[in-house]
Amino acid sequence: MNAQDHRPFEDDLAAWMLGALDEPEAEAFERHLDGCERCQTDLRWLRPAVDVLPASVTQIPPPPRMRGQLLGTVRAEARRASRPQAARRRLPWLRVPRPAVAALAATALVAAGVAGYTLGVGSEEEETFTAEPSKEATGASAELVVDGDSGTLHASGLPPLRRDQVFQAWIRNVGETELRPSDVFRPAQGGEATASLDGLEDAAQVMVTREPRGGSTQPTTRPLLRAKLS
Amino acid sequence: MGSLAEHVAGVTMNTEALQRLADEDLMPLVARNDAAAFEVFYDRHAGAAYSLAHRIVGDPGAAEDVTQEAFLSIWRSKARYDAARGSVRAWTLGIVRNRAIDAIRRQGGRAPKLDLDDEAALERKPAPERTEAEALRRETARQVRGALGALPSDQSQVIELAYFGGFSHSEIAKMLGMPLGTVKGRMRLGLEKIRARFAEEVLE
Repeated sequence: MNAQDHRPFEDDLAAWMLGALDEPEAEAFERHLDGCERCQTDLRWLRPAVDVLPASVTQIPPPPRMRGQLLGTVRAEARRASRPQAARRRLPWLRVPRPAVAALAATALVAAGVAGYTLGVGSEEEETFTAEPSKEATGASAELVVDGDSGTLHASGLPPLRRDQVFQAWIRNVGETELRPSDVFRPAQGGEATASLDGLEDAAQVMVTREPRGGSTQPTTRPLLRAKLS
Repeated sequence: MGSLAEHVAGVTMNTEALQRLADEDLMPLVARNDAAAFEVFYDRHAGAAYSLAHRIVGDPGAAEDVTQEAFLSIWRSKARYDAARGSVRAWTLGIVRNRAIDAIRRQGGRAPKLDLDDEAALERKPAPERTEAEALRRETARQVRGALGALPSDQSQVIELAYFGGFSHSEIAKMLGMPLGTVKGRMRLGLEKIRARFAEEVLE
């Protein structure tokens, strides 16, 4: 790297370190940085000056409930990860081509008189379930894509939230009445939202409620969405 | 020679043993789904993380969301920490900072505070110094605030707007009515001064 190549990037290092370069500029600088020993040396020298910036803010103890909620989730996920792979909940009759499944599901809907049943399979490993909105969430819709013991809930048209509220997913296992707290999420503009769910291996139902910010350990409001998994 | 954590891989360590590990030795355990190691990691950094998130988003509830999201992403991504890129603390706070900036961008409003010195706020709302580590953090905060406060305001201002406000250099140039090159130059000068004048005593 000669001085001529380096010069256009001379002033970019500090701005890049502070996250102040726009995306294309940042990418161009990173390509330069890869091959520029001078910038790499400067980066090593200046890095502690950026690293120390967070220490300048007023130190506030975090709310104690945050520790309980976060570590509760972490411990539950660690327990699940340490268990031998649970027998995957599978509905063998779903392993048929998509049009046949759709027809079958339509029959099931009519026969059972419920909306929000299994509507299809995305792949050999995935199953997709459609959630049914409650009266409070008319216009909302959601699909739960389950792969093994985890899944992603894609919701849209969710009712509005206050700033101090969140949506929270809940899981009920087969043969149980207790609801387990799951992901806490907020929608983007337009009401689109995504939640990640784990521990679905024995799940019978997934629900979504509106909760105070940070989530709850028990639902405090009526479900807005319900997806039946078995 | 592997790290201490590698030597004890497969052995469940008690909390006391985990607390004696350096951050760099805790992270491989976190990557192996060790919830107790994550707990120790959380206790070491949650205060600084929450304080930074609070400083950026300016609201206790939103700061809590940002901090939780950041720690969960570290847990779930299996802690892709790379020691070559700096300390665990700096890496963690970098994640918190980026999430906090994303949060204020999502809200569509960014109103960074421009005063570097939060001493007055601290005095108005004295939080109990519950632990030695917290007391140390407060002392470091005082030192670093002093260091930043000693910078010429045109340098501290651009650093503040970029780091805590999430503004790009072009947005800052427009806001302050100055050429792009001047903004970048002031950022560089400011960081050089922090490094040269204060880094040794505060950081080493």
